[in-house]
Amino acid sequence: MVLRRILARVAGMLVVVWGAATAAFLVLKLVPGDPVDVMLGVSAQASPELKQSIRAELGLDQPLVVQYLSYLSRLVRGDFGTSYQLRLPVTEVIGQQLGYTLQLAAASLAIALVIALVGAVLVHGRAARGVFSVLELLAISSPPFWIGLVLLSVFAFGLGWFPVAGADGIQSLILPALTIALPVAGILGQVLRTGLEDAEEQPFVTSARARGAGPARLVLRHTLRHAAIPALTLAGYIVGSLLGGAVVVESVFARPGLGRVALSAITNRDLPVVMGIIVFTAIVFVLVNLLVDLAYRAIDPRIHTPTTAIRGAR
Amino acid sequence: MIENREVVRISGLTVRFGQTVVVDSVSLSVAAGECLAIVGESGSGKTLTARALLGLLPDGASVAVDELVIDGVDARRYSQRDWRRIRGARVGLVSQDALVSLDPLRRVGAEVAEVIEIHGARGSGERMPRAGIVDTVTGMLARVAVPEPAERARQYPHELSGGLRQRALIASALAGEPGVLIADEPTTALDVTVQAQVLDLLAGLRRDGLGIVVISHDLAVVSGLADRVAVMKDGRIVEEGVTDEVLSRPQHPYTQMLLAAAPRLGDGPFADRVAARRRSPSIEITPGGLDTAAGGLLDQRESTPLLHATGLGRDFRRPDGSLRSAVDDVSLVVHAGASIGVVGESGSGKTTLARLLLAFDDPNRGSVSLDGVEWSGVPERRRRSRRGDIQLISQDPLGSFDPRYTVARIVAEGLRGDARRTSPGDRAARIRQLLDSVGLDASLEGRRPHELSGGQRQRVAIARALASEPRILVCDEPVSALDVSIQATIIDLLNALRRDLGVALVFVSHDLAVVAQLCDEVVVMKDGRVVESGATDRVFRHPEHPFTRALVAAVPRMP
Repeated sequence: MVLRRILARVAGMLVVVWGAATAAFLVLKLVPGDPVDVMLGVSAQASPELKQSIRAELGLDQPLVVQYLSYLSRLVRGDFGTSYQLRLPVTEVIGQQLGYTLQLAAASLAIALVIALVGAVLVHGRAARGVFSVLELLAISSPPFWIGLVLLSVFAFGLGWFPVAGADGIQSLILPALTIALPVAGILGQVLRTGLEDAEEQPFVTSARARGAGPARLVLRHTLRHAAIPALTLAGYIVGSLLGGAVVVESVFARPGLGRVALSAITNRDLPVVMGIIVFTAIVFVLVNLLVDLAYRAIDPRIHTPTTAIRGAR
Repeated sequence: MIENREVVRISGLTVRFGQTVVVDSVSLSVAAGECLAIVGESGSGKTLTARALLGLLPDGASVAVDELVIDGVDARRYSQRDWRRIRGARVGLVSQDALVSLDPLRRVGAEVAEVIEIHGARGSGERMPRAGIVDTVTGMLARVAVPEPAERARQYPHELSGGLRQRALIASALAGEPGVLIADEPTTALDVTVQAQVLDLLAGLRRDGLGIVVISHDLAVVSGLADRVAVMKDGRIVEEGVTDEVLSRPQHPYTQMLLAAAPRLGDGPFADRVAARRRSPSIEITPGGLDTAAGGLLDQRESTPLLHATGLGRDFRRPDGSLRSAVDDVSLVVHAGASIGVVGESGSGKTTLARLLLAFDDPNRGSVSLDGVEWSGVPERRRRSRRGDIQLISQDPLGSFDPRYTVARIVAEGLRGDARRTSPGDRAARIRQLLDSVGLDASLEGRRPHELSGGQRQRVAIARALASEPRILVCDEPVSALDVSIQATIIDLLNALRRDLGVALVFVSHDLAVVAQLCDEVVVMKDGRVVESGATDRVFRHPEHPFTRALVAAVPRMP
């Protein structure tokens, strides 16, 4: 029973990744223009014979179905192809840049969590929530590049506390991470705060207070877990924000990373890299969803308890 | 045990919200080993009085009190920090529904242990080691008669049955060994048989020297438990005394009204009164006002049944894949103008049966016919024009109203196609007639649902159901959420509708006393099957099936 559920789950994950890979393949085939021209550069003077031989080498002269199947079989073997621009295997391109983006994403997530948690726990159910909800709204509705520019002009150009650009140690990580973290903290803080307030209306809180529980114990032992359930549903949105934010922030702050690679691959029509990043992103989302499901089960015992236990208890 | 030691003494307790006085100079006292019941209807201030004993009044409440002694300490000038020191340690709280009053995300044992973690060991106040806490929790659960306490402590509230959950909640309130327990409607969410067990448990705790303040809307429930009763109305105690005295010789008109309105089961003068009410409802409804063919229907009584269910079965799949029959092999015949009660405990399949009769759901086995024509298992589009013949009245009318609609519009929703297409003047007149037939003033037409009282809402729901001139009303716990005085008037109304319009009633309820007042026949359900059926008087007076006997025996009775 359990094994079947796990197998079904894994199959579902594979279907999602396959769907993303197929969609990426089809969309990029529909884009007009010849990839060989892109590879050679606009100014290159190559004879039609040379172009034809490159095409044959890359298999671009094959029928679409054959191209698709060989693309899939290479994916299965972990071969994402070779970048037209960098002449490196796509896996290597992603691997080189992944570290920078992971660092940025982890720092952003940590900052967002701390701001959201501290904010929500301190102001929930108090008058200060009004002020906070305005700040949250401001953070949610500001585009990241604008937040980045404001932070840059105040803390880097103005006060000179942080470097303007680059990826050199913690110092250079703070502003970019903050840029991504603020909108995420805004929406996460809002959900956590309303979650705490909803939980505090529940009868079990009255029971806990009647046992002598103080405000700190109520939050830590009772209501925060309840508030975490709606917050978990945001995980997909947050991962999207972290990856999407990386594209913008790595450009604004001139940091290396996956976002910048993606941006330049798209502008230069470096199709293998674009497809590689799409498939990689799909894998990340699938894994995050799996983690979220596991987290739900860990937090809320009502989700996975088999009914046999209920009957056994009667 | 020290006899007559007072564990609660309050005098002159007044609670205000702004200018509104919600509790008005209430004074009461409880001794160790004594149980005081505070009884009243919704809005009487009974719950606020109870909460004041824990310092747990809602924000915005202002309190004035002359004396407030809880388990030997003067709590008059207590700050929240002071209150936290005595909550759980000197005074415990048990509220209504343990499924939501215990934290659903925490193990039962953790909830019971919380008091000990907060207050430390009883007496010394020292932190208890982990193993000591586990032992105390297990002991506490055993004391409230939870079987296999060590295992239960590791389970979550939703994994326990309603009765065990309520016991666990009581254990969590007692783990700090307080001198007084506040029980706020401690059995209201429970089935009668389980209710009787929990009341027994509380009585045992009282004998062991615990002071208990029990809050209830139901005089019968507390009559077996309480030594004294205080009746509250509009924030004041209108009558207080020894339980037997208050119940047998009520002095205040309000107490007399409460006693008269409470539905009862069993022999004696009360049963006669009930029977008398059934014969002559206090309301008169003229069929002329509503154009139904009521007169003719009554004559057909013995011929074709109006609603005929044969061998109904409905299965649901459990999460582990196995099948559970919520309704199994149930047959039911409803003649025009009949009144049939369906009783049983929660999970017995009553509501699933009601949904099948209404064809909101199709059976896996068996069939339903309405007026001799197939009703179950046919496409909804063939049922739609006949839906007006059978209408539902639910427990929670508010949830079935569009909150933005006025009363007139809500009732108009129930009109059938042809009645809807008449002139606006005729339609307005028809709506007024319908409101009049359920005893509502025409001036309420423009109100919205949230501006109505609970009883008025249920009347609007009935008026809407009557708008399509139904021949059957299926009522699913229609009076369970209402105060007893309101309950009695709605029961009178349903009786009158049946008598004067010939509407048949299928009345689903967990409350045997209400069914006894309203229904000629009764069907007793258990685990999806009918275990006994027959004339109501016969079934309730001489139950044959052991389950029916247990059910009837568990109904709380006045002395």
